[in-house]
Amino acid sequence: MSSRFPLFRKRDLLIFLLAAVLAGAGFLQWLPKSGAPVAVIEQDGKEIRRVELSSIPQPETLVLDGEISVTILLEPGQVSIIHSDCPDQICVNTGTLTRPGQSAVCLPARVSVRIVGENNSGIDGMTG
Amino acid sequence: MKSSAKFVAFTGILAALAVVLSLLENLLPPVPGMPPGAKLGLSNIVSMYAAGCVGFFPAMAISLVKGLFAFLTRGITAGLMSTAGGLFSTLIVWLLLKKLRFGLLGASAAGALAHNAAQLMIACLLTSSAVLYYAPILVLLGTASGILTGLALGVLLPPLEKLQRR
Amino acid sequence: MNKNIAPSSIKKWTAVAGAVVILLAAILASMVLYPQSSQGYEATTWAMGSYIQQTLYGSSAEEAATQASSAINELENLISWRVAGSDIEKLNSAAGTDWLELDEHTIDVLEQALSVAEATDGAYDPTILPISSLWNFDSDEPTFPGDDKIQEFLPFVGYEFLRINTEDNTASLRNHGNGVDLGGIGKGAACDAALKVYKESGISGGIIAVGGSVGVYGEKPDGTDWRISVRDPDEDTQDGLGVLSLEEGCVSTSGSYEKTFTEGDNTYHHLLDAKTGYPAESGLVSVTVVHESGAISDALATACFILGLEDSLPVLKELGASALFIDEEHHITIAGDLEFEQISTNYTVSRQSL
Repeated sequence: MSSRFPLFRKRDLLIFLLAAVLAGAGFLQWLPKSGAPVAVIEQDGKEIRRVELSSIPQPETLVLDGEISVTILLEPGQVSIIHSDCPDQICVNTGTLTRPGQSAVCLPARVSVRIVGENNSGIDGMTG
Repeated sequence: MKSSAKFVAFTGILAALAVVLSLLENLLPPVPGMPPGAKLGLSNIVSMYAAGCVGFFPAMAISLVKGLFAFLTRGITAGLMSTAGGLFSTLIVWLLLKKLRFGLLGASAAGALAHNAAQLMIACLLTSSAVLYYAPILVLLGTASGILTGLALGVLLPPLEKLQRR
Repeated sequence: MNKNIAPSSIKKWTAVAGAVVILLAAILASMVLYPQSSQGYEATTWAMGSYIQQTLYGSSAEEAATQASSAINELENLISWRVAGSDIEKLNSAAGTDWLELDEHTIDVLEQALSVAEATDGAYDPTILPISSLWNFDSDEPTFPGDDKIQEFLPFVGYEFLRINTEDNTASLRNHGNGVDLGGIGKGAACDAALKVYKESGISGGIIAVGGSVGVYGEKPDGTDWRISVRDPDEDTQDGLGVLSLEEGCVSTSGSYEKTFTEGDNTYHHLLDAKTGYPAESGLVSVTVVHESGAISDALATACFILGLEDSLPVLKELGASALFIDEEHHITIAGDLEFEQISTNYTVSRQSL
């Protein structure tokens, strides 16, 4: 033996096994989480309702009363503002929301509907 | 190694070598796409040699000197990360190599992993836990650089040991 | 060899297990902590007449979000002409009298407003209030004021009436009847205020959207660029026109589709040309401007919409901005160095260097 320290011993495999397990566990965290899209409905900045989109059994309308009344339609897999007493109707024109990151806002009524969840589209914000 | 003066001088030379190697490594241009903290770990060759062939306390002293140098040249964060990483990895390498008789490859890979783990902990405490996103990549890169260091030592150790015996 | 291992091999293997457990614990702890940090802290508030959404990453995210939102409220209470007792309300009331001492932040915003007004020769004009209050786009019922009214009040609009002194933080409006409306710059200024909070808070990264103005700071947990979807002026769906990738800075959009009303045969939008007193017609549908300052990007978006593509280019170059123009012919022009990924296929794209 030229050296007191052999290059490799069988027990070294233990270290490599440990490294593989750690790396594997870490990469698992990177996978998209199963977090299903959730619709969050807020009025005046306060959360009114939070519902998992896929778990809505049948169409349901939600009427938010206030100075300006807003009607929200919750359907399996999607949500939309279908009526608002506001003058601009921007929220109604926004259409149907289906994916995380999307939102419909009624400024005059201070009502917002948005979908949160694992953001597959990779969009962080919106301008316009 | 008979006289203690010789021994201290030898440790000093090793410490200087470790500092020079880590300086050299910092001169290398950053590889695009690599996460922060991923390094070749050239100076780990020296720490490993010290832990294996010189002794536990000299090896820890060399890590401290290296950390101190990082403090001076790269600031508090880098200094803390280097010190913590160096001490922890030296401890692990010494334990595996001298006490548990692991091979060079295994000990060196474990040392690199320990270095990364300690650095990540410090980075997490000092900056934000966002750095942990890179943890799995660092584990893989750390193992790879550990294997390289181990191979390098496998080549360098026999002649070095002869030198030391004189 | 064997004699080295034999005597205390049990002890030694216990030590192995110890070392392995330490390593495992250290790195596993990091894995457990990781999901929280990548998720980001989200906060939704209302201010400046808009929906404000923040997504922040890092340990002090919640605190930073709260601080940013109070900074925006403070700013609104300084620069909104509708808020009684605000700096701008006082300045407007004192029009034609004396110089007023105002808050440093107000002066900052006024200074940025004037710099864009000067660079665009008044296409963006902070003194639009006499005309904008006639149209009253922010109310429930905007109305066409009639040509006579517009001609009557148009002479009161002109950024040269607004003078500021940055040394002693004073400002004045020259004539009675002048008025400042910072509606075209306020949302961008709000982004700046939030980004300033983020920088001081020690969060690792964050994004704020105030209406159509977006500001980004720092890094996302995965280190990739921030991706900002540009709204498709045509479609009600939310797929968007395309995606802008941004490392830092702010984006603002002015589009003629944002606030409109129809009276008789005419549809009017809110981007008023200070020169004519009427909604601007430059062949554009929307302009998105990227600049390191939110206030400048916001004001420039309005200015470029009014100037039109050709006249905007030198201004963008001068102020160090880049922009994306969408015209009525469904053509997108990207001016300057922007990373844009097209999504909607209803548009043609060309690039224009500055």
